Amino acid sequence: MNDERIYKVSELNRAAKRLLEEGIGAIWLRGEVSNLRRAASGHLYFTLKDESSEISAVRFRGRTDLLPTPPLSDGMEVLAFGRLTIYAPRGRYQFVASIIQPAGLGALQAEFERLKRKLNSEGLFSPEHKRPLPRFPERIGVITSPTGAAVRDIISVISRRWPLAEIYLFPSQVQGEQAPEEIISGIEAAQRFSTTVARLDLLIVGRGGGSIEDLAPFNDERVARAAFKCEVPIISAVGHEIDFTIIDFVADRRAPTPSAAAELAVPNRPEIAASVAEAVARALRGINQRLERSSRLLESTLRGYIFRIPIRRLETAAQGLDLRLARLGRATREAYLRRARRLELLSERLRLVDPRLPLARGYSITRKRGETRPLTSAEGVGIGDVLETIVEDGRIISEAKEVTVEDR
Amino acid sequence: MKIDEGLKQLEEITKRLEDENIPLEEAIELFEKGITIAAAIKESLDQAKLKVKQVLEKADGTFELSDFDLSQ
Repeated sequence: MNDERIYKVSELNRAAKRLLEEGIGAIWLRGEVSNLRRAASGHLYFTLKDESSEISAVRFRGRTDLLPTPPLSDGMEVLAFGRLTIYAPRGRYQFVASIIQPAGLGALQAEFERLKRKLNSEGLFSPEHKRPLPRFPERIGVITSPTGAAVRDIISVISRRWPLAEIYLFPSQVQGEQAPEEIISGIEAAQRFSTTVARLDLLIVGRGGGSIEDLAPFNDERVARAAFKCEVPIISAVGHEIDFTIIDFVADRRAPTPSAAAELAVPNRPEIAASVAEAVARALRGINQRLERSSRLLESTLRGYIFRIPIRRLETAAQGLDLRLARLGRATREAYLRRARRLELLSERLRLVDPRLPLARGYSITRKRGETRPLTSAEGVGIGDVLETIVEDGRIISEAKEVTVEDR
Repeated sequence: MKIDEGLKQLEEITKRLEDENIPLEEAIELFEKGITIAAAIKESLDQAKLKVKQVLEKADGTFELSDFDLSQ
């Protein structure tokens, strides 16, 4: 620089800016966030400080995001990558960050890997400990915050898919220092509730997404052990798609989000309704075929078994089911009505051959007592056999005194 | 009726009705029973309303249930 020259302010700021940018370049800076404010533009302004010094910093919105910025808060220790510069219009010296990470990340990650290896070697993750989830859970325990998004998502999904279930919420904090203790008490309380009050078919343990610190309680060794010990099958539901926590490895099933956990937990009503409709359709086909065969058989079998053909039942079946059937939907109902007409027809025909009609004209039917087939021949009747004779309005029990067989 | 039991019974009834040798009376009886079960399941599916309870374990080991209201 030329010392004898008189600078304009803007020239000086520009020169200083160049010096700073070229002299220091892109660096990693560690410090504590304070004075955080988000401008209407979406840019984040804050101060980074350590015990004795501070610097203004900015994270511009819309910069190519190499890594998404975690939610920042005052007091948070961060590692920021960026350049030192001067904002020339104000002569203000500031750090422009392009990447911001929680400073503890490396340490947390290392601890996560260590715990994962340890629990894995103890067998807490092994497949033989994984229990299957019940297909139709009646009571579902949920361990999460009563005020978070997770409980809302779970309730909304289960209420839509399978409102036949009941949800039992064991409220617990899911972030902060108290969270591990509360999650453990929640799991243990659910276990006791299941054995002493009403059996819980499964538990959903989790929370919505957040920073790695927010999810930390689900990486707690004690929480993992409590989940492992629990006798009720557990679905873990922590964070968003990509977040994996220790409890995910211990749980019987891992769901990427609370909503996904709810979907895993219960069947979907329309699917079950469809399988019911299919079963009804098959039953209709079955009985149709059966009836057809009966009406074909009818003509050729007017003898003995006629007593066994249940005319009254046919009539009842034809008339009495409309009400229940009305709830089964149109297609099923139509199929049923076709079948009902067939039943009516069949019962009409049965009535025509009902042996009780000839009885009114003075004929009678005789059979050996205890048998269903009417006698059509004297052969086979022994002296002393007890016979039952059916007339129109009653029956007569008699004993064979004499048996004569005539040649036909 | 429990849904899973109902579905199981319905399946058994259906299988039995598909058997050609089933006596007519039994077929009709089973058919009636099947329709009744199907209608009951359908009704449970349509009528069900989700219940959500908040559970608090008290110091004496008993549990206190209260209705959980999302609007809280």
